[in-house]
Amino acid sequence: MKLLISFLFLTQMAFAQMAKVPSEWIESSSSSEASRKSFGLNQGRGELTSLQEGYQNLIGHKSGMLEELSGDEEKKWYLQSIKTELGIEAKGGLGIMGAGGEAALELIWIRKKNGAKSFVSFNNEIDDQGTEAIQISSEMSPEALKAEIEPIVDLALKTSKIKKRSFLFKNLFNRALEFQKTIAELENAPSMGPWYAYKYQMELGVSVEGHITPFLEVGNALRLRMEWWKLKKKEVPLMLTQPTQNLSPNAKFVSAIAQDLSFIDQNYFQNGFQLNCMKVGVGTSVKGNLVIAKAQANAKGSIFFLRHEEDVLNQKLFPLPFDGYSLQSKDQSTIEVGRHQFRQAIRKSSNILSFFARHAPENEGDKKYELNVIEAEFELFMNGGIGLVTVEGNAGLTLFATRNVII
Amino acid sequence: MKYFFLLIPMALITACQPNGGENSIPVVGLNQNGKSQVQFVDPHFLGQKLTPLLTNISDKVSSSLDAHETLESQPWELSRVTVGLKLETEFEVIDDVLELENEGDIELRFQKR
Repeated sequence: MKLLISFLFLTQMAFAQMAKVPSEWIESSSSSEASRKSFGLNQGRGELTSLQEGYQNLIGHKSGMLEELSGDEEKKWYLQSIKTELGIEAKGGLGIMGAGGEAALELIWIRKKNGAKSFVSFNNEIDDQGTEAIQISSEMSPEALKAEIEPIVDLALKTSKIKKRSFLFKNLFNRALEFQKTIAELENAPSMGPWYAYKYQMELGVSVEGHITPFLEVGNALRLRMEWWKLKKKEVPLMLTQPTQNLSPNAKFVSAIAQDLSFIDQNYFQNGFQLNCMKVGVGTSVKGNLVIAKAQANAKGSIFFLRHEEDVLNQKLFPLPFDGYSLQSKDQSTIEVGRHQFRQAIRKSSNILSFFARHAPENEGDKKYELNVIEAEFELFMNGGIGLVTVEGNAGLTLFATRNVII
Repeated sequence: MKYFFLLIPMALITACQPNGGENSIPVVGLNQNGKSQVQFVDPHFLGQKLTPLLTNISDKVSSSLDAHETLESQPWELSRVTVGLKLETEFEVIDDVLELENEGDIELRFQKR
Protein backbone atom coordinates (compact mmCIF):
# COMPACT_ATOMS: atom_id res chain seq x y z
CA MET A 1 0.00 0.00 0.00
CA LYS A 2 2.81 2.40 0.93
CA LEU A 3 4.53 1.53 -2.35
CA LEU A 4 1.34 2.34 -4.30
CA ILE A 5 0.83 5.67 -2.55
CA SER A 6 4.47 6.60 -3.12
CA PHE A 7 4.19 5.67 -6.79
CA LEU A 8 1.01 7.71 -7.23
CA PHE A 9 2.67 10.66 -5.52
CA LEU A 10 5.74 10.43 -7.74
CA THR A 11 3.53 10.07 -10.81
CA GLN A 12 1.80 13.34 -10.00
CA MET A 13 5.15 15.03 -9.42
CA ALA A 14 6.37 13.84 -12.84
CA PHE A 15 3.54 15.73 -14.60
CA ALA A 16 4.48 19.28 -15.51
CA GLN A 17 2.66 21.80 -13.34
CA MET A 18 1.12 24.34 -15.68
CA ALA A 19 0.54 27.79 -14.21
CA LYS A 20 -3.07 28.85 -14.45
CA VAL A 21 -4.62 32.29 -14.19
CA PRO A 22 -7.62 32.57 -11.84
CA SER A 23 -10.84 31.70 -13.64
CA GLU A 24 -12.18 35.19 -12.90
CA TRP A 25 -9.42 36.65 -15.09
CA ILE A 26 -10.83 35.00 -18.24
CA GLU A 27 -14.53 34.89 -17.41
CA SER A 28 -17.18 37.55 -17.67
CA SER A 29 -17.84 37.58 -13.95
CA SER A 30 -18.89 40.93 -12.59
CA SER A 31 -15.82 43.06 -12.25
CA SER A 32 -16.30 43.98 -8.61
CA GLU A 33 -16.62 40.32 -7.67
CA ALA A 34 -13.48 39.52 -9.62
CA SER A 35 -11.60 42.29 -7.90
CA ARG A 36 -12.42 40.88 -4.51
CA LYS A 37 -11.64 37.31 -5.45
CA SER A 38 -8.51 37.74 -7.50
CA PHE A 39 -6.61 40.48 -5.84
CA GLY A 40 -6.26 39.72 -2.20
CA LEU A 41 -9.27 39.17 -0.10
CA ASN A 42 -10.59 35.74 -0.93
CA GLN A 43 -7.90 34.36 -3.24
CA GLY A 44 -5.76 31.50 -2.01
CA ARG A 45 -2.15 32.61 -2.07
CA GLY A 46 -1.15 29.22 -3.48
CA GLU A 47 -2.84 29.83 -6.82
CA LEU A 48 -1.21 33.20 -7.44
CA THR A 49 2.16 31.99 -6.17
CA SER A 50 2.02 29.12 -8.67
CA LEU A 51 1.08 31.56 -11.43
CA GLN A 52 3.92 33.86 -10.46
CA GLU A 53 6.42 30.99 -10.57
CA GLY A 54 5.10 29.72 -13.91
CA TYR A 55 5.14 33.21 -15.42
CA GLN A 56 8.68 33.90 -14.20
CA ASN A 57 9.78 30.50 -15.50
CA LEU A 58 8.47 31.41 -18.97
CA ILE A 59 10.09 34.86 -18.84
CA GLY A 60 13.35 33.36 -17.64
CA HIS A 61 13.34 30.82 -20.44
CA LYS A 62 12.72 33.49 -23.09
CA SER A 63 15.34 35.81 -21.61
CA GLY A 64 17.89 33.01 -21.50
CA MET A 65 17.23 32.14 -25.12
CA LEU A 66 17.68 35.77 -26.22
CA GLU A 67 20.99 36.04 -24.42
CA GLU A 68 22.29 33.15 -26.49
CA LEU A 69 21.53 34.91 -29.77
CA SER A 70 24.71 36.32 -31.20
CA GLY A 71 26.59 37.05 -34.36
CA ASP A 72 25.64 40.57 -35.41
CA GLU A 73 28.07 42.59 -33.29
CA GLU A 74 30.20 43.39 -36.34
CA LYS A 75 27.32 44.04 -38.72
CA LYS A 76 25.62 47.31 -39.69
CA TRP A 77 22.17 45.74 -39.30
CA TYR A 78 21.44 44.19 -35.96
CA LEU A 79 18.56 42.50 -34.17
CA GLN A 80 17.16 45.52 -32.34
CA SER A 81 14.06 44.09 -30.67
CA ILE A 82 12.07 40.88 -30.40
CA LYS A 83 8.39 40.36 -29.71
CA THR A 84 7.22 37.10 -28.16
CA GLU A 85 3.78 36.06 -27.03
CA LEU A 86 2.12 34.16 -24.19
CA GLY A 87 -1.28 32.56 -24.63
CA ILE A 88 -3.97 31.31 -22.28
CA GLU A 89 -5.84 28.13 -23.11
CA ALA A 90 -9.54 27.60 -22.44
CA LYS A 91 -9.03 26.39 -18.85
CA GLY A 92 -6.68 29.21 -17.90
CA GLY A 93 -3.29 27.57 -18.43
CA LEU A 94 -0.55 30.06 -19.32
CA GLY A 95 2.12 29.13 -21.86
CA ILE A 96 4.11 30.12 -24.92
CA MET A 97 1.70 30.86 -27.73
CA GLY A 98 1.62 28.38 -30.55
CA ALA A 99 -0.19 28.27 -33.88
CA GLY A 100 -3.89 29.04 -33.66
CA GLY A 101 -3.65 30.50 -30.22
CA GLU A 102 -4.43 34.08 -29.28
CA ALA A 103 -1.80 36.21 -27.60
CA ALA A 104 -3.04 37.31 -24.19
CA LEU A 105 0.31 38.86 -23.37
CA GLU A 106 2.82 40.29 -25.82
CA LEU A 107 6.34 40.87 -24.56
CA ILE A 108 8.77 43.17 -26.32
CA TRP A 109 12.46 42.79 -25.59
CA ILE A 110 14.78 45.58 -26.68
CA ARG A 111 18.54 45.40 -27.26
CA LYS A 112 20.62 47.47 -24.90
CA LYS A 113 23.42 49.50 -26.42
CA ASN A 114 26.80 48.63 -24.93
CA GLY A 115 25.09 47.34 -21.82
CA ALA A 116 23.31 50.62 -21.17
CA LYS A 117 19.58 51.22 -21.41
CA SER A 118 18.40 51.98 -24.92
CA PHE A 119 15.40 54.26 -25.08
CA VAL A 120 13.42 53.46 -28.20
CA SER A 121 10.15 54.62 -29.67
CA PHE A 122 7.24 52.77 -28.08
CA ASN A 123 5.00 53.38 -31.09
CA ASN A 124 7.56 51.88 -33.48
CA GLU A 125 7.46 48.73 -31.39
CA ILE A 126 3.67 48.30 -31.20
CA ASP A 127 2.44 49.60 -34.56
CA ASP A 128 2.06 47.31 -37.52
CA GLN A 129 4.94 48.46 -39.70
CA GLY A 130 3.59 46.69 -42.75
CA THR A 131 0.58 49.00 -43.20
CA GLU A 132 0.89 52.26 -45.14
CA ALA A 133 -0.22 55.17 -42.96
CA ILE A 134 -1.65 58.53 -44.01
CA GLN A 135 -0.94 61.16 -41.35
CA ILE A 136 -3.76 63.66 -40.98
CA SER A 137 -4.24 66.67 -38.72
CA SER A 138 -7.28 68.86 -38.24
CA GLU A 139 -5.42 71.94 -39.58
CA MET A 140 -4.56 70.44 -42.94
CA SER A 141 -6.09 72.24 -45.91
CA PRO A 142 -7.74 70.22 -48.70
CA GLU A 143 -4.62 70.78 -50.82
CA ALA A 144 -2.38 69.48 -48.03
CA LEU A 145 -4.64 66.44 -47.63
CA LYS A 146 -4.41 65.72 -51.34
CA ALA A 147 -0.62 66.03 -51.22
CA GLU A 148 -0.56 63.51 -48.36
CA ILE A 149 -2.80 61.05 -50.19
CA GLU A 150 -1.15 61.24 -53.60
CA PRO A 151 1.98 59.11 -52.92
CA ILE A 152 -0.17 56.47 -51.23
CA VAL A 153 -2.39 56.25 -54.31
CA ASP A 154 0.69 55.96 -56.54
CA LEU A 155 2.03 53.21 -54.31
CA ALA A 156 -1.31 51.40 -54.40
CA LEU A 157 -1.33 51.39 -58.21
CA LYS A 158 2.25 50.12 -58.38
CA THR A 159 2.01 47.38 -55.77
CA SER A 160 -1.51 46.00 -56.19
CA LYS A 161 -4.09 45.17 -58.83
CA ILE A 162 -5.88 48.49 -58.40
CA LYS A 163 -6.22 50.30 -61.75
CA LYS A 164 -8.68 53.20 -61.34
CA ARG A 165 -6.51 56.02 -60.01
CA SER A 166 -9.02 58.88 -60.01
CA PHE A 167 -11.75 56.74 -58.44
CA LEU A 168 -9.43 55.58 -55.66
CA PHE A 169 -8.12 59.11 -55.10
CA LYS A 170 -11.63 60.57 -54.79
CA ASN A 171 -12.71 57.85 -52.34
CA LEU A 172 -9.61 58.24 -50.19
CA PHE A 173 -9.95 62.02 -50.14
CA ASN A 174 -13.58 61.84 -49.02
CA ARG A 175 -12.65 59.34 -46.33
CA ALA A 176 -9.85 61.66 -45.18
CA LEU A 177 -12.31 64.57 -44.85
CA GLU A 178 -14.58 62.44 -42.63
CA PHE A 179 -11.57 61.39 -40.57
CA GLN A 180 -10.57 65.02 -40.19
CA LYS A 181 -13.98 65.93 -38.72
CA THR A 182 -13.61 63.23 -36.06
CA ILE A 183 -10.07 64.22 -35.08
CA ALA A 184 -11.12 67.86 -34.74
CA GLU A 185 -13.54 66.65 -32.08
CA LEU A 186 -10.83 64.57 -30.40
CA GLU A 187 -8.50 67.57 -30.31
CA ASN A 188 -11.18 69.60 -28.58
CA ALA A 189 -11.87 66.90 -25.99
CA PRO A 190 -10.97 68.37 -22.62
CA SER A 191 -8.72 66.43 -20.26
CA MET A 192 -10.36 65.12 -17.14
CA GLY A 193 -7.19 63.92 -15.39
CA PRO A 194 -3.71 62.60 -16.17
CA TRP A 195 -4.90 60.46 -19.13
CA TYR A 196 -5.60 61.82 -22.61
CA ALA A 197 -6.19 60.53 -26.15
CA TYR A 198 -2.95 60.88 -28.13
CA LYS A 199 -3.47 58.76 -31.23
CA TYR A 200 -6.38 57.67 -33.42
CA GLN A 201 -5.99 55.08 -36.13
CA MET A 202 -8.53 53.94 -38.67
CA GLU A 203 -7.82 50.76 -40.62
CA LEU A 204 -8.99 50.76 -44.22
CA GLY A 205 -9.27 48.12 -46.88
CA VAL A 206 -9.10 48.98 -50.58
CA SER A 207 -10.73 46.72 -53.16
CA VAL A 208 -9.36 46.15 -56.65
CA GLU A 209 -12.07 48.50 -58.00
CA GLY A 210 -10.88 51.25 -55.66
CA HIS A 211 -13.69 51.09 -53.08
CA ILE A 212 -12.69 51.95 -49.51
CA THR A 213 -14.09 49.86 -46.67
CA PRO A 214 -13.56 50.46 -42.98
CA PHE A 215 -13.09 46.77 -42.34
CA LEU A 216 -10.35 44.41 -43.32
CA GLU A 217 -12.54 42.33 -45.60
CA VAL A 218 -11.33 39.25 -47.38
CA GLY A 219 -10.31 40.05 -50.94
CA ASN A 220 -9.06 43.58 -50.33
CA ALA A 221 -6.16 44.44 -52.58
CA LEU A 222 -4.51 46.82 -50.16
CA ARG A 223 -4.51 47.75 -46.51
CA LEU A 224 -4.13 51.38 -45.39
CA ARG A 225 -4.30 53.30 -42.17
CA MET A 226 -5.32 56.88 -41.45
CA GLU A 227 -3.64 58.24 -38.40
CA TRP A 228 -3.84 61.28 -36.14
CA TRP A 229 -1.38 62.18 -33.41
CA LYS A 230 -1.84 64.73 -30.69
CA LEU A 231 1.26 66.88 -30.45
CA LYS A 232 2.89 66.24 -27.13
CA LYS A 233 2.48 69.18 -24.83
CA LYS A 234 4.88 69.82 -22.02
CA GLU A 235 2.40 71.78 -20.02
CA VAL A 236 -0.36 70.22 -17.99
CA PRO A 237 -3.20 69.13 -20.26
CA LEU A 238 -6.14 71.48 -20.57
CA MET A 239 -8.48 70.93 -17.65
CA LEU A 240 -12.19 71.12 -17.85
CA THR A 241 -13.03 74.37 -16.16
CA GLN A 242 -15.94 75.45 -18.28
CA PRO A 243 -19.43 74.09 -18.75
CA THR A 244 -19.57 71.24 -21.23
CA GLN A 245 -22.94 71.59 -22.87
CA ASN A 246 -21.45 72.33 -26.28
CA LEU A 247 -19.12 69.35 -26.49
CA SER A 248 -19.78 66.93 -29.33
CA PRO A 249 -20.71 63.30 -28.53
CA ASN A 250 -17.28 62.13 -29.69
CA ALA A 251 -15.44 64.66 -27.54
CA LYS A 252 -17.46 63.55 -24.50
CA PHE A 253 -16.80 59.89 -25.38
CA VAL A 254 -13.03 60.37 -25.42
CA SER A 255 -12.97 62.58 -22.32
CA ALA A 256 -15.07 60.08 -20.40
CA ILE A 257 -12.72 57.20 -21.19
CA ALA A 258 -9.72 59.32 -20.19
CA GLN A 259 -11.43 60.19 -16.92
CA ASP A 260 -12.39 56.58 -16.20
CA LEU A 261 -8.77 55.49 -16.67
CA SER A 262 -7.95 57.49 -13.54
CA PHE A 263 -9.53 54.63 -11.58
CA ILE A 264 -6.51 52.41 -12.19
CA ASP A 265 -5.20 51.45 -8.73
CA GLN A 266 -1.48 51.35 -9.34
CA ASN A 267 0.57 52.88 -12.12
CA TYR A 268 4.18 52.54 -10.96
CA PHE A 269 6.17 49.48 -9.93
CA GLN A 270 9.48 48.95 -8.23
CA ASN A 271 11.06 47.28 -11.24
CA GLY A 272 10.51 50.44 -13.33
CA PHE A 273 7.38 49.40 -15.19
CA GLN A 274 4.51 51.88 -15.54
CA LEU A 275 0.91 51.29 -16.62
CA ASN A 276 0.76 54.27 -18.91
CA CYS A 277 -0.95 53.40 -22.20
CA MET A 278 -4.23 51.92 -23.34
CA LYS A 279 -5.72 51.09 -26.73
CA VAL A 280 -9.45 50.67 -27.25
CA GLY A 281 -11.10 49.44 -30.45
CA VAL A 282 -13.87 51.73 -31.68
CA GLY A 283 -16.66 51.59 -34.20
CA THR A 284 -19.36 54.02 -35.21
CA SER A 285 -23.06 54.08 -34.50
CA VAL A 286 -25.72 54.65 -37.15
CA LYS A 287 -25.50 58.36 -36.32
CA GLY A 288 -21.75 58.32 -36.82
CA ASN A 289 -20.82 58.60 -33.13
CA LEU A 290 -17.92 56.64 -31.69
CA VAL A 291 -18.77 53.44 -29.81
CA ILE A 292 -16.58 50.82 -28.14
CA ALA A 293 -16.04 47.77 -30.36
CA LYS A 294 -16.35 44.47 -28.56
CA ALA A 295 -13.50 42.90 -30.54
CA GLN A 296 -10.73 44.10 -32.81
CA ALA A 297 -12.34 42.06 -35.58
CA ASN A 298 -15.29 44.48 -35.74
CA ALA A 299 -13.38 47.64 -34.84
CA LYS A 300 -13.08 50.33 -37.48
CA GLY A 301 -10.25 51.99 -35.66
CA SER A 302 -8.38 52.35 -32.39
CA ILE A 303 -7.90 55.22 -29.97
CA PHE A 304 -4.77 55.25 -27.86
CA PHE A 305 -4.64 56.89 -24.44
CA LEU A 306 -1.52 57.99 -22.63
CA ARG A 307 -0.92 58.88 -19.00
CA HIS A 308 0.69 62.25 -18.57
CA GLU A 309 4.06 61.95 -16.86
CA GLU A 310 3.30 64.48 -14.22
CA ASP A 311 0.30 64.26 -11.98
CA VAL A 312 -2.23 66.86 -12.86
CA LEU A 313 -3.04 69.51 -10.31
CA ASN A 314 -6.42 69.24 -8.72
CA GLN A 315 -8.70 71.81 -10.21
CA LYS A 316 -12.39 72.21 -10.02
CA LEU A 317 -13.91 70.23 -12.83
CA PHE A 318 -17.35 70.68 -14.23
CA PRO A 319 -19.13 67.33 -14.42
CA LEU A 320 -19.00 65.67 -17.80
CA PRO A 321 -22.55 65.02 -19.03
CA PHE A 322 -21.89 61.45 -20.20
CA ASP A 323 -23.72 58.48 -18.69
CA GLY A 324 -22.19 55.48 -20.40
CA TYR A 325 -20.83 53.77 -23.49
CA SER A 326 -22.33 51.76 -26.30
CA LEU A 327 -20.57 48.42 -26.73
CA GLN A 328 -20.93 47.14 -30.30
CA SER A 329 -20.66 43.46 -31.21
CA LYS A 330 -19.74 41.85 -34.52
CA ASP A 331 -23.35 41.81 -35.73
CA GLN A 332 -23.57 45.58 -35.02
CA SER A 333 -25.96 45.10 -32.09
CA THR A 334 -25.13 47.25 -29.07
CA ILE A 335 -25.59 47.20 -25.32
CA GLU A 336 -25.20 50.14 -22.97
CA VAL A 337 -22.44 49.99 -20.36
CA GLY A 338 -22.66 52.50 -17.52
CA ARG A 339 -19.68 54.57 -16.36
CA HIS A 340 -19.46 52.69 -13.05
CA GLN A 341 -19.41 49.33 -14.81
CA PHE A 342 -16.77 50.51 -17.27
CA ARG A 343 -14.61 51.82 -14.41
CA GLN A 344 -14.87 48.42 -12.73
CA ALA A 345 -13.73 46.79 -15.99
CA ILE A 346 -10.77 49.18 -16.23
CA ARG A 347 -9.86 48.44 -12.64
CA LYS A 348 -10.03 44.67 -13.12
CA SER A 349 -7.98 44.70 -16.32
CA SER A 350 -5.34 47.03 -14.86
CA ASN A 351 -5.03 44.83 -11.75
CA ILE A 352 -4.45 41.82 -13.98
CA LEU A 353 -1.72 43.60 -15.95
CA SER A 354 -0.27 44.90 -12.68
CA PHE A 355 0.33 41.29 -11.62
CA PHE A 356 2.43 40.59 -14.72
CA ALA A 357 4.21 43.95 -14.58
CA ARG A 358 5.02 43.58 -10.90
CA HIS A 359 6.51 40.11 -11.36
CA ALA A 360 8.55 40.93 -14.46
CA PRO A 361 12.31 40.79 -13.89
CA GLU A 362 14.30 43.73 -12.63
CA ASN A 363 16.77 45.35 -15.00
CA GLU A 364 19.86 43.21 -15.11
CA GLY A 365 22.94 45.15 -16.16
CA ASP A 366 24.75 42.28 -17.83
CA LYS A 367 21.90 41.19 -20.13
CA LYS A 368 21.87 42.09 -23.83
CA TYR A 369 18.09 42.34 -24.09
CA GLU A 370 15.70 43.93 -21.64
CA LEU A 371 11.97 43.36 -21.32
CA ASN A 372 10.54 46.86 -21.92
CA VAL A 373 6.90 46.43 -22.96
CA ILE A 374 4.20 44.10 -21.63
CA GLU A 375 0.97 44.26 -23.56
CA ALA A 376 -2.18 42.58 -22.18
CA GLU A 377 -5.14 41.89 -24.47
CA PHE A 378 -8.65 41.84 -23.05
CA GLU A 379 -12.00 40.67 -24.28
CA LEU A 380 -15.08 42.79 -23.58
CA PHE A 381 -18.17 40.71 -22.86
CA MET A 382 -21.72 41.69 -23.73
CA ASN A 383 -22.65 41.88 -20.04
CA GLY A 384 -20.09 44.66 -19.58
CA GLY A 385 -17.51 42.34 -18.03
CA ILE A 386 -13.88 41.96 -19.10
CA GLY A 387 -11.26 39.20 -19.11
CA LEU A 388 -7.97 38.17 -20.66
CA VAL A 389 -8.48 37.03 -24.23
CA THR A 390 -8.38 33.30 -24.99
CA VAL A 391 -9.91 33.18 -28.48
CA GLU A 392 -8.40 34.61 -31.65
CA GLY A 393 -9.88 37.91 -32.79
CA ASN A 394 -11.73 38.69 -29.55
CA ALA A 395 -9.39 41.31 -28.11
CA GLY A 396 -11.11 44.69 -27.80
CA LEU A 397 -9.00 46.53 -25.26
CA THR A 398 -5.24 46.52 -24.73
CA LEU A 399 -3.32 47.80 -21.75
CA PHE A 400 0.42 48.47 -21.86
CA ALA A 401 3.05 48.48 -19.14
CA THR A 402 6.31 50.05 -20.27
CA ARG A 403 9.75 50.98 -19.02
CA ASN A 404 12.64 52.80 -20.70
CA VAL A 405 10.71 53.59 -23.89
CA ILE A 406 9.77 56.92 -25.42
CA ILE A 407 6.08 57.38 -26.11
CA MET B 1 -1.04 -8.92 -5.85
CA LYS B 2 -4.10 -6.70 -6.31
CA TYR B 3 -1.92 -3.60 -6.36
CA PHE B 4 0.14 -5.06 -9.21
CA PHE B 5 -2.86 -4.71 -11.53
CA LEU B 6 -3.16 -1.06 -10.53
CA LEU B 7 0.54 -0.29 -10.98
CA ILE B 8 0.74 -1.56 -14.57
CA PRO B 9 -1.97 0.78 -16.00
CA MET B 10 -0.52 3.69 -14.03
CA ALA B 11 2.93 3.00 -15.49
CA LEU B 12 1.46 2.84 -19.01
CA ILE B 13 -0.43 6.12 -18.52
CA THR B 14 2.71 7.81 -17.24
CA ALA B 15 4.78 6.59 -20.18
CA CYS B 16 2.22 7.80 -22.72
CA GLN B 17 1.80 11.34 -21.34
CA PRO B 18 3.71 13.83 -23.51
CA ASN B 19 4.75 15.83 -20.47
CA GLY B 20 8.19 16.85 -19.49
CA GLY B 21 9.67 17.48 -16.08
CA GLU B 22 8.66 20.01 -13.49
CA ASN B 23 10.16 22.96 -15.40
CA SER B 24 8.70 21.98 -18.75
CA ILE B 25 7.56 24.80 -20.99
CA PRO B 26 3.83 24.71 -21.84
CA VAL B 27 2.92 25.66 -25.41
CA VAL B 28 -0.69 26.76 -25.93
CA GLY B 29 -2.41 26.55 -29.29
CA LEU B 30 -5.12 24.85 -31.34
CA ASN B 31 -5.08 21.31 -32.66
CA GLN B 32 -6.23 20.28 -36.13
CA ASN B 33 -9.83 20.14 -34.93
CA GLY B 34 -9.66 23.74 -33.75
CA LYS B 35 -9.72 22.80 -30.09
CA SER B 36 -7.47 24.34 -27.49
CA GLN B 37 -4.53 22.14 -26.61
CA VAL B 38 -1.40 22.31 -24.48
CA GLN B 39 1.86 20.57 -25.20
CA PHE B 40 4.81 20.49 -22.85
CA VAL B 41 8.32 20.84 -24.12
CA ASP B 42 11.56 20.25 -22.31
CA PRO B 43 13.25 23.69 -22.04
CA HIS B 44 16.68 22.29 -22.85
CA PHE B 45 15.37 20.57 -25.95
CA LEU B 46 13.50 23.72 -27.04
CA GLY B 47 16.65 25.76 -26.49
CA GLN B 48 18.68 23.30 -28.57
CA LYS B 49 16.22 23.62 -31.47
CA LEU B 50 15.00 27.22 -31.28
CA THR B 51 18.08 29.19 -30.31
CA PRO B 52 20.30 27.98 -33.18
CA LEU B 53 17.38 28.51 -35.57
CA LEU B 54 16.86 32.11 -34.43
CA THR B 55 20.61 32.76 -34.52
CA ASN B 56 20.77 31.38 -38.05
CA ILE B 57 17.81 33.48 -39.24
CA SER B 58 19.10 36.60 -37.52
CA ASP B 59 22.55 36.14 -39.00
CA LYS B 60 21.22 35.61 -42.52
CA VAL B 61 18.90 38.62 -42.36
CA SER B 62 21.62 40.90 -40.94
CA SER B 63 24.08 39.74 -43.60
CA SER B 64 21.57 40.22 -46.42
CA LEU B 65 20.69 43.69 -45.22
CA ASP B 66 24.35 44.62 -44.85
CA ALA B 67 24.87 43.65 -48.48
CA HIS B 68 22.04 45.98 -49.55
CA GLU B 69 23.36 49.40 -50.43
CA THR B 70 21.32 52.56 -50.71
CA LEU B 71 22.13 54.61 -53.76
CA GLU B 72 22.75 58.30 -53.15
CA SER B 73 20.10 59.16 -55.71
CA GLN B 74 17.36 57.26 -53.88
CA PRO B 75 15.21 59.50 -51.69
CA TRP B 76 14.07 56.61 -49.47
CA GLU B 77 16.30 54.47 -47.30
CA LEU B 78 15.47 51.15 -45.70
CA SER B 79 15.41 51.75 -41.96
CA ARG B 80 13.72 48.80 -40.30
CA VAL B 81 12.88 45.21 -41.22
CA THR B 82 10.51 42.91 -39.38
CA VAL B 83 10.54 39.11 -39.74
CA GLY B 84 7.63 37.10 -38.32
CA LEU B 85 7.92 33.45 -37.35
CA LYS B 86 5.17 31.00 -36.46
CA LEU B 87 5.36 28.25 -33.87
CA GLU B 88 3.59 24.97 -34.54
CA THR B 89 2.62 22.91 -31.54
CA GLU B 90 2.18 19.62 -33.33
CA PHE B 91 4.87 17.24 -32.43
CA GLU B 92 4.85 13.64 -31.51
CA VAL B 93 6.63 11.45 -29.05
CA ILE B 94 8.93 9.10 -30.92
CA ASP B 95 10.97 6.85 -28.70
CA ASP B 96 10.88 9.45 -25.92
CA VAL B 97 12.24 12.15 -28.25
CA LEU B 98 10.17 15.27 -28.87
CA GLU B 99 10.55 16.60 -32.37
CA LEU B 100 9.66 20.24 -32.98
CA GLU B 101 8.35 20.67 -36.47
CA ASN B 102 8.48 24.41 -37.03
CA GLU B 103 9.73 27.76 -35.89
CA GLY B 104 8.54 29.96 -33.01
CA ASP B 105 5.76 32.55 -32.76
CA ILE B 106 8.22 35.37 -32.59
CA GLU B 107 8.80 38.67 -34.36
CA LEU B 108 12.35 39.81 -35.05
CA ARG B 109 12.95 43.54 -35.69
CA PHE B 110 16.15 44.62 -37.42
CA GLN B 111 17.53 48.13 -37.49
CA LYS B 112 20.60 49.87 -38.86
CA ARG B 113 23.20 51.06 -36.36
